Amino acid sequence: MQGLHQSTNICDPGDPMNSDPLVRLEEVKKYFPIGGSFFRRNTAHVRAVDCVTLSISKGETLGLVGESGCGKTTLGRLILQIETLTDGKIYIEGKNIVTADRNEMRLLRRQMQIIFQDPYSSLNPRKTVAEIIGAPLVIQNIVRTRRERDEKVLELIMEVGLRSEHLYNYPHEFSGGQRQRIGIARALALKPKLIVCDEPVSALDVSVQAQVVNLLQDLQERFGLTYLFISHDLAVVEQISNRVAVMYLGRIVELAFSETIYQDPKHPYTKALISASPIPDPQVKKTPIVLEGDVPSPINPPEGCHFHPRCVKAFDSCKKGVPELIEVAKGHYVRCFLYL
Amino acid sequence: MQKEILTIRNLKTSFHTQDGTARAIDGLDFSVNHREIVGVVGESGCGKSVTALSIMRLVPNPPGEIESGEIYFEGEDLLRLSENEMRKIRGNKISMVFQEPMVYLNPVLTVGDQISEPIRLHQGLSRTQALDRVIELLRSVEIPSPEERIRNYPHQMSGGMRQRTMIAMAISCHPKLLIADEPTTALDVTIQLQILNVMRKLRDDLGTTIILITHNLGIVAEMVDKVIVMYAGKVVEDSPVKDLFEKPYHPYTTGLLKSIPRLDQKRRRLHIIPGNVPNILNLPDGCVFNDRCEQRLKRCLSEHPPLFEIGAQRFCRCWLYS
Repeated sequence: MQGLHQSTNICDPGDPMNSDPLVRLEEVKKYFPIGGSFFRRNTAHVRAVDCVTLSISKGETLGLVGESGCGKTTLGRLILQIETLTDGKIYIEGKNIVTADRNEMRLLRRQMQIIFQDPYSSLNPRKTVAEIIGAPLVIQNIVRTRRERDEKVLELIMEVGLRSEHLYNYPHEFSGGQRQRIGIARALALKPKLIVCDEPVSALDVSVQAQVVNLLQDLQERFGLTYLFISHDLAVVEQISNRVAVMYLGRIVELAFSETIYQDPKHPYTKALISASPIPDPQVKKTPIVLEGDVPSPINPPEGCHFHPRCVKAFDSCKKGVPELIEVAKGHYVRCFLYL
Repeated sequence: MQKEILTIRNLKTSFHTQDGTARAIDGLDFSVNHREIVGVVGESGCGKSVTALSIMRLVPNPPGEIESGEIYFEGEDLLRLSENEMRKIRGNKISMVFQEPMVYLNPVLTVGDQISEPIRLHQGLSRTQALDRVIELLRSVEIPSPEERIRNYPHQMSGGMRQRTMIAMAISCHPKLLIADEPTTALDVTIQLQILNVMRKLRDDLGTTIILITHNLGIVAEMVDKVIVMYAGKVVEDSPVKDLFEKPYHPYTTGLLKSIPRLDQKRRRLHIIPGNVPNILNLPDGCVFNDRCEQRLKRCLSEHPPLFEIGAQRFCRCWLYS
């Protein structure tokens, strides 16, 4: 089973400390067709997610970092089946959700929820807090009357640090941080096992960011939640995650425990990303690794290793073959020819 | 040689809205030295962007209005200039880079024509002369193959490229002062690093003075010489960058520095500043930070603290230092 064709037996980037995965992705691909019209067949694809194999253990936070267009949000949406995948398998607690029918999917959705980036566009401005947070409870037939709903919602908003008098307020009456708390309460309503947090603090002010990060950590402890935490901010991801996966143009290029990824990054892209993240301390001197050029278009990514045109260490093999994701230390995976 | 290029004294800018008058800037004082990079930091609504617009005299009126104060640029009060005189300064001696390059670039003009506009206007060059100068400028902000790029429209460029174009336009007339309002907030970190390097080179090679407005304390630590921390329309702390990060004085600055996650130090839990950024329509009495402050004194509830001078070039607006 050696060679270019990746077999799922070769590499399982799961958590070595915990063999009980809640979510497992196997060779997940998502290609978006572009340029097609009524008369013309699709001529090209955006390879948003290109063969990702990954497990998320129960109770862990897996951080997913990368720059815009690397496919991190698409990956999160695939797990929730908001997008249908082009190829591959996704298991939740051992059950393949790709083949699940409508009814099964509806039940599965109770177990996985999402928190969105923008607390302004993700809340309906014409609904009260009780209606917004209560919506999943109503849809899933968990509450039957308005009173029942409001009781449940009240519990939830106390849990996320809002007050009872907020119950019948509208979103515009809240600040960004409070709105994000509403979004969190909505995600918690169905007592999910997995929450995909898609840049949940990126739109918030610095002083409010910490409040939401701490809240997410508290809730995880209380309810035993599993998070997929998507962000472009390496420092936030390192703070909240047990393990961190770095994506570049649809592929995972490095995955390791969060301390390791900062202290001992292997992939040249991860190193550049870390060096480019500013540290709020003028005494800390870093050698900045300035990457040339922009992130290439995912429509027409470079051959071989996607990173080679910007990589300072690129050599001949990088232009031809795609390196496999290999384990260089326990739980530390890298996709780079330097480590083969 | 510490020569002040810009001095702002007791500047007040307000917006008259249906819900009342919002004092976006309420008594702003600070100065910028020649060849210095000054960072203005603060959270949304603290008045940092309005500061930039006030210096450029671009505050939309109505609803906005510069009520009082003085803005001395090279010894001249900008607020007393006529609109015609101001137009000769804007884009020429003082220029500005905005957060969203796509919004500020004209989508139906090629970047070559757009960048050459201020050059032709202020320096009276012909179109071909100006385009040659544009190619030079694009090269100086590290845009590859600038000869071809000048024929591009903004949508044909990436975000980082557009921001470089904005910078090229801003520096086209060798401004003495460049105001950059969140120039890298919309960009990825690897691109952010490239842009910051371009800006640093401007200062080092051309001697441009830069006011860098940002909410990112990491960028401040790496880029600037002096920091102005703003909160609810006021300067709460003004300090050389090293001193500020070593020993912040104002409780807001202290809290802010403790609450940001750091890559080089793992914190089990982040420090929290309770509450929210205040609404400037409805500010607390006394010190504007008093409702979120851990070291609040009785006095803070009723009396508004002045900016105290605490040490060499260090100012802090807090009763703890009276």
